[in-house]
Amino acid sequence: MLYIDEKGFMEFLNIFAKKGELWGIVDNRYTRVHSPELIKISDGPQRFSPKEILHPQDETLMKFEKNEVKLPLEPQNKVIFAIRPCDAFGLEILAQTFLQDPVDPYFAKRREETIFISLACKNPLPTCFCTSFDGFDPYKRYGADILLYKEEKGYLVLDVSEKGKEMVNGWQKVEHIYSERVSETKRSLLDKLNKQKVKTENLKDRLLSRFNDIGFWENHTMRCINCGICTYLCPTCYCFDIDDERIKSRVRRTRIWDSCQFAYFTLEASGHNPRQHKLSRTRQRFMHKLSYFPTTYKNYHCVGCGRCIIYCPVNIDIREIITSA
Amino acid sequence: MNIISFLCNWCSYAGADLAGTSRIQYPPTTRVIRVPCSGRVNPFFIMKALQAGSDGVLVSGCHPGDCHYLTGNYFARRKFTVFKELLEFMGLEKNRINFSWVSASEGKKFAEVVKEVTKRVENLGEPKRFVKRKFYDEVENG
Amino acid sequence: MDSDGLIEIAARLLKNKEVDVIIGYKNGNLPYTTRPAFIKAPEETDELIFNRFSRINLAGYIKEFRGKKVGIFAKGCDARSINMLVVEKQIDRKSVYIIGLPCPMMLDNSRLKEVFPYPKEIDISDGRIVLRDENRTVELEFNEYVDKTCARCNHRNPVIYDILLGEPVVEKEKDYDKLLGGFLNMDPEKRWELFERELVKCIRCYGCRQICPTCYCDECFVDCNKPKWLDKGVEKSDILFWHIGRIYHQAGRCVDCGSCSFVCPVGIDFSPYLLYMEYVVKNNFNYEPGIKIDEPPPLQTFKKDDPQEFIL
Repeated sequence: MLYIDEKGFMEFLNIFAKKGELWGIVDNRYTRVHSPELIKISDGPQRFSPKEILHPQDETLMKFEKNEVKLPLEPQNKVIFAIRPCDAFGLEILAQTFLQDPVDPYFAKRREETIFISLACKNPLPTCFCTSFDGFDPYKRYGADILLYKEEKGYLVLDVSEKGKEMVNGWQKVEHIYSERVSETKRSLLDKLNKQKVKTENLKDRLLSRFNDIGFWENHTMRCINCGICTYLCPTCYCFDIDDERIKSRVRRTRIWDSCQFAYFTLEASGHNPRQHKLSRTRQRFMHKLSYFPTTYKNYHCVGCGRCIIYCPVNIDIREIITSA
Repeated sequence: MNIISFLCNWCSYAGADLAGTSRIQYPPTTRVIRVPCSGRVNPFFIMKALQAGSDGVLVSGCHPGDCHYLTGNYFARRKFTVFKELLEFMGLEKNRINFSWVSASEGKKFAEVVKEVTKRVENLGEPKRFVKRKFYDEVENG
Repeated sequence: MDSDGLIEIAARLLKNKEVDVIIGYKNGNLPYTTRPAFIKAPEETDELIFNRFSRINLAGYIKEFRGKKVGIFAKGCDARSINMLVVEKQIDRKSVYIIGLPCPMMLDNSRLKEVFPYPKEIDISDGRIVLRDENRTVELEFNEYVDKTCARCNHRNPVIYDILLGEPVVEKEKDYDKLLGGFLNMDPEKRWELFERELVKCIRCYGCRQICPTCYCDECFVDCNKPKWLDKGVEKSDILFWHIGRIYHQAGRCVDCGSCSFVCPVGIDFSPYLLYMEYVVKNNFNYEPGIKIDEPPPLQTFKKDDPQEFIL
């Protein structure tokens, strides 16, 4: 096991900060930071998910003017400190979609150039239910490159990817006392998390059988206001829209987040809208996450971070839908 | 300098014509867009012009009581009162957006208005606050 | 804030078929939250509550029950919104049964959350808030944690209702000079800086639009692509365009319920701008949104002698 003390770690981050490559959470958002001291990490998942690093809200796909086309695929090395293991799992889920054939070159490039440092959880929030899905282990690395554990005066490396190995090379080797403490914390964390677990057995079929049950959906989602908060804060939602911004003869083609909750998301050119009513839109979100996606990819499209529960203005709770479906 | 003017077809546009045929000199700073009535001017027209980088906007219609459609300019007056006050409160320079009443017979007044607006906008300098910058810069730099 | 009285009336209305659905609040499953409830059967009315976290303006939900008779809980702001919707001919006054509730003033859940994120118990009595869990107890002064919007509210009693529950509360005047003075004394450059800093956080989730009762357009200007008013990305001027447009559209219509600032996931405070719109409309056209049911909204009417000092 590798170890680095607080001071050494700050110096380590500072190397990247000086190069302008360090990204972290300031005011709840992942932004470029010039000094690692600015990064504040609270318990549980942070308000914004690291999705916006690989799949930014507003991404330039290309620019063109008459016959001249420019692809903005310049290198953009980034080091992200820190994400949570559920977010890291979310990155893997995002990759399932973006990196399947045909591979999305923009996502792939960002994925390659970014180092994600994950920080193992010690205390869950009451809205965390990550362990409910597919034997999720909050002490696994998943899509991150380095998994750290915060010790009293430093950081332990629990796991590291090929890409991250180089970075932690010089760190001090330690044994035993630490691994004991880590498994202690993990046990108490799992204790708490298992109490908050929700029942996901047979979920995709249970939900599918509810598809036409209007009463069920009305009961749970009638109060939905169809804003995009849940989908925008979600670490796995990836729906996007493509838009051309034009000024005179110059055009920038952008990829921007879109949300299945918006009425215009499915509006067709003919004027027909297959998901015209609110209930069909909210149903789509839950069905996609918990039924359609697992049918195609074997895992659920939800990591149980609970962001949508905390920030929903009308208190719609995905856990209630999972348990009562 | 680029001032976008929205001129009512029935008065200010004819007023601008009269200024031209009467050979009254005024600064060549404005591009005219003819609209059927000052009430036709959606405040978004103004925002769009400012976002695209024009230095100022002038909206001109008929004097109260003279509207070709009887009441269009009365409604416009209320809209622009609110809109102008809002933008001022948000902190946009107040002289970027200008309104005037110019009738078809007031060629001289039109020239005066354009002079006045040009002077106001000139004093403000280059617009910075609401212009779509990132797009321009990105395209221009690379 | 007598929940029993509420339940009784709701049950009676449903039983007598006076209404088809009651729009109210029920308890949320997180601290400091309630959720809008839609009750259709008299036996389900037990869930209904009204407390100091019944923050969201319910008036927007009425339009989803078109053709049905709706009973609705209405605080001062909800009632004014309903009024506004009637004035703008979006709903029929006859199809709404308004259960008026003098507002006890809502609490600011985001600030409470900062103090004590997940209490097990919340007691509010005698002007104090007591938050508790197994490990600690926190006592707070009620007045300090009243929501900003509610603290400045001048219409806490519903202006229209079919039945009023509880005693009307004492209202106070809105002191615009005090509320906006700080802003108005700043120079424009500083104001723009503040405006930009506040609004640029926006992620364009449109929560503010969706929760707003008076934002009912079939096609919002931001979604409109013929003409396309603004681009969809998060470039600064596009975000500002969207918010200037939304706030401008609220002139003479916003009842200052503060729901938009409440739902915002990034915590944008829209209130100075909306408040200023209210002030401008009151000052110039002597109109207050949602008070009178027979007065047209200020931008749909005019007077021959409206102020016009700004016109050359």
